[in-house]
Amino acid sequence: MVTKEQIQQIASLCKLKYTEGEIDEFAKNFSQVLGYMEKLKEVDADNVEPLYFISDHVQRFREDVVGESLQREDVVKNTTEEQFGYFKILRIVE
Amino acid sequence: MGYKTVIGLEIHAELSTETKMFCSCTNAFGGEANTHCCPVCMGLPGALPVLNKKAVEYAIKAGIAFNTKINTKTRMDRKNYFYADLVKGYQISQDTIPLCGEGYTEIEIEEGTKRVNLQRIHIEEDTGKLTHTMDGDTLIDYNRAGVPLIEIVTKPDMNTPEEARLFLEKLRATLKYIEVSDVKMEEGSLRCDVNINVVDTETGLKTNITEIKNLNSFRGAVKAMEYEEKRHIDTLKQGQNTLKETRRWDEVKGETISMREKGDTADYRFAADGDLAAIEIPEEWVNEIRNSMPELPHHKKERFVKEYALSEYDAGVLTASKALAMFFEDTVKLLDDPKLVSNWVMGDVLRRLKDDDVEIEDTKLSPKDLSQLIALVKSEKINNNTGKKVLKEIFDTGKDPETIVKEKGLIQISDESQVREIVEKVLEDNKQSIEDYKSGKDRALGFLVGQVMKISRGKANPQLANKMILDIIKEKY
Ligand SMILES: [Zn+2]
Repeated sequence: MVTKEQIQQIASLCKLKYTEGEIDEFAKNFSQVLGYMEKLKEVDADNVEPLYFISDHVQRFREDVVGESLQREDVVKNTTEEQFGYFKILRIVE
Repeated sequence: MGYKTVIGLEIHAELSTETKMFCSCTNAFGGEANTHCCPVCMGLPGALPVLNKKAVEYAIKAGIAFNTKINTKTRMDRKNYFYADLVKGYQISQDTIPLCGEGYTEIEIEEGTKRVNLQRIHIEEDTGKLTHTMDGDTLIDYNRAGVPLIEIVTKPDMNTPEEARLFLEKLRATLKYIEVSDVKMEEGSLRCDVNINVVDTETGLKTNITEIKNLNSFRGAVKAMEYEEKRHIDTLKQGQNTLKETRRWDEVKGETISMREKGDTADYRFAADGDLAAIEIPEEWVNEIRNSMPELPHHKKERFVKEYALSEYDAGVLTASKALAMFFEDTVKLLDDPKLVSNWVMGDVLRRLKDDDVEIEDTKLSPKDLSQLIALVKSEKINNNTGKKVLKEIFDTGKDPETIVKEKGLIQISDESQVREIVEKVLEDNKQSIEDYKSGKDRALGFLVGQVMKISRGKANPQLANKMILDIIKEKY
C-alpha cells in the first residue's frame, strides 16, 4: 500500500503540487503498480545472473579531446536575468 | 574515563583531464564565467552525455593506487535534487556499483603503520559554482559543471584528527604522484568532508555523527575536527547527545556552525541513468593501466632506503612529494653523495620551502645549483655557514653558486699563512680568553674561533682556525 503521505513526500521532492483528488488517484495507481511488482517475487531467480543494467548496450567512450563550447551569449540567452556573464538569481544559501 | 574518536572522510578530487566528463568542453580551471559550456553540460533538452575515456582511466589509476577492487561492470546513476548549482535537476554519479570497490592505504603513525580502509571510489560530475554577492543575489558560473570528479570514501578508521591529517597528506601525495589531479585545495580541486563522533569507552555510549563541510585547507580540517572532538566529549560528559547534523567550519570564528539537521535526510532517489549505457571495463585495459603506473610514494621510499642508504625517516620525507624526490635524485646524479645531498635538502632547503610555503618546483633553486653549492663546501672552497648564505642568495636571486661566491668574494681562506696571521692577532687581543681556556672553560675556544671568523668576514676555514688556535696556544702561551 502506498499512502497519501508518501505521494505527498515524493511530490514535494520533485517540487510538484497536486490537488487532494490527484493525490488519491496517484496513491491508488502507485499501489497497483507496486502490486504487480510483488508478483515478480514469485519467480525463481536463483540461477539468474543479477542485472546491473537494463539494456544490453555497452557504453562507448569519448576520447579526451577539447571541442567547441557555446558562445556565452547563447549560454545565458534564455535566462531571465544575467549579470557580468553570470546567471543571476535571488540569493540562496543551502 | 576514556573516549575514542571515530573519523571517516569523504574526499572529492577533480580529475585533470583535458575535457569534461560527458562533453568536450575544456576542463581548464577558471576562464570567464559560462564560457566552458555546451548543451550537454548545460543540460539542454535532447543533449546526450558520452563518457570521457580518460576520466575512467584516471579513476582506475586512483583505484589501483589505493588497492581497490576495480568493478569491470558498472554504470552511472542519477542523483536527484534541486539546487541552482545543478543544471539538470540531477547529478550524474554512481550509486550501488562504484567503479572502484573496497581498498586501503597505509599511514605512518607514532605506534607504527596503520591501515585506513576505503569504502569505495566512484566517478561523478562536478556542479556549477555559486557566488553570493553583497547585494543579496547569487551569481552562477557553470564552467565547473560536468568536470570529472572522483569521490573517495573511507571507512571510519581514523581515531584522531592527526591520523586524518596524515591520511589526507597521503591521499594528496598519491593523487599527485599518479598525475590524475592537481589536488589544490585553494582552487577547489580537492575538497573534503568529515564524519566524526565520539564513543565513551567505558559505557559504550556514542554521540550522533556530525558531518563537517566547507573545509578548504588541511589546517582548517584538522582544527575543525579538534573542535568537534572536544564538543562531542563535552556533550557526553554532560550526559547529553549531539544532534545528527551537518556543520560548517568558520575559519574566522574558529568554530563549527550548524547548517541543517539531518532529520529530513536527503532522499536522492538514485536511478540508473538511461542516457548512458552500461560500462564494461575490459580486464586487459585495467592491466594495461596497472603496468603504466608510476612508482608510488611508499615504493619510492623503499628504493631510496636501499639505493641511497638513507634512513627510513629521511627517505619518507624526501619522497613525500614527487617533485622533491625528483629534485633529490637529479642532484645526486650530479653529485654522487646521497647522504650529503639528503642533509642539505632535508635541512636548509626544506626549511626555506616551509618558510615561503612553496614547492620545490616553484623556486629558483635547480639540482645543478645545489650540486655546485655542495661541491664548493665539500672541497672547502667555502665553509658550511657561507654555504647556507649562498643557498639563501640562490633562492632570492636565482644566480648560480659559483657566480655568487665570486661576486661576493666568499672563497674560504684555507691558506695556512693567511689564517695564521688572523689567529695570532686574535690571540694577542684576547689573552683573558686564553687563560679561561687553559683553566678548563671550553667555551673560550668557541669565542676565539668566532673572533677569527668575524675578522675574516666568515671566510676562514673554521676547522683550520680551530686547530691553529690550539697549536699556537700550546706553542706560545
Ligand atoms: Zn560541455
